[in-house]
Amino acid sequence: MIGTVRDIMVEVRSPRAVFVDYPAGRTFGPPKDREHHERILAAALRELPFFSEWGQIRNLPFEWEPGNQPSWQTLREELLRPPLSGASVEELIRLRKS
Amino acid sequence: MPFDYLPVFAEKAAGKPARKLVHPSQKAWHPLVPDLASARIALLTSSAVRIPDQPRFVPPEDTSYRPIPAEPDSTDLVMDHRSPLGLNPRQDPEVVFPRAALMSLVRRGLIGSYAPTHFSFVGGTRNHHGVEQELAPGMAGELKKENVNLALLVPF
Repeated sequence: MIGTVRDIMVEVRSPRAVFVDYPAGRTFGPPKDREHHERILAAALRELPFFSEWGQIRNLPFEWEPGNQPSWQTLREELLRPPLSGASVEELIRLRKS
Repeated sequence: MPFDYLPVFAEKAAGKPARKLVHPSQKAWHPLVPDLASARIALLTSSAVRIPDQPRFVPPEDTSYRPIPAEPDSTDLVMDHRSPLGLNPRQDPEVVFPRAALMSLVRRGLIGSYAPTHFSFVGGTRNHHGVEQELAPGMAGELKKENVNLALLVPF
């Protein structure tokens, strides 16, 4: 597993877990940054040989950069927003062009 | 110091039944992991993404799953998960479901191969029994058929 929500990862153990300290919902980095996504994925997979028993959590050495959204300061506000509705395909196309 | 999510979830759920975190009933552990160069990897995402003509997920108690083609250009994904954190993943599903990154690592030779199909389901369910009795065994059977020897779960 690769996760961002460490307090839940500690409570709900998985066989092998890698923690990346990024805001939830952005596990592999900012949108449309393929090189960044690849770096995170490769780093997570390279941790595999170092697990020796069930339930361990290993940390990746990445930091969410200032300027990336959301900031840590605004993450709480984002979490408290109402649930999203199901997005239509048209909405998604608009979002992906933005 | 990592961000503490549980207090925020508790604040949001004020007045509703508290979120219950459940440990797996059995510890799943296999002592061996394949060398990455010989690994055949599948991704598992709880973001409830699907291809548009697949049946919609019905959060939060849905314990079904959808097979998703491994080739990211082969389809456009929609997302049924209702988390307010979903805006970035709706803009670019790769931030939680890195199919393109996985393909690139295979092309570069870091990983042996990727499975032709990855799997998607709804996270955050309170139907823990359904996850253990239906969802997990169902996906495990599919992974076995595809000769996957390494599955990476990306919780959403």
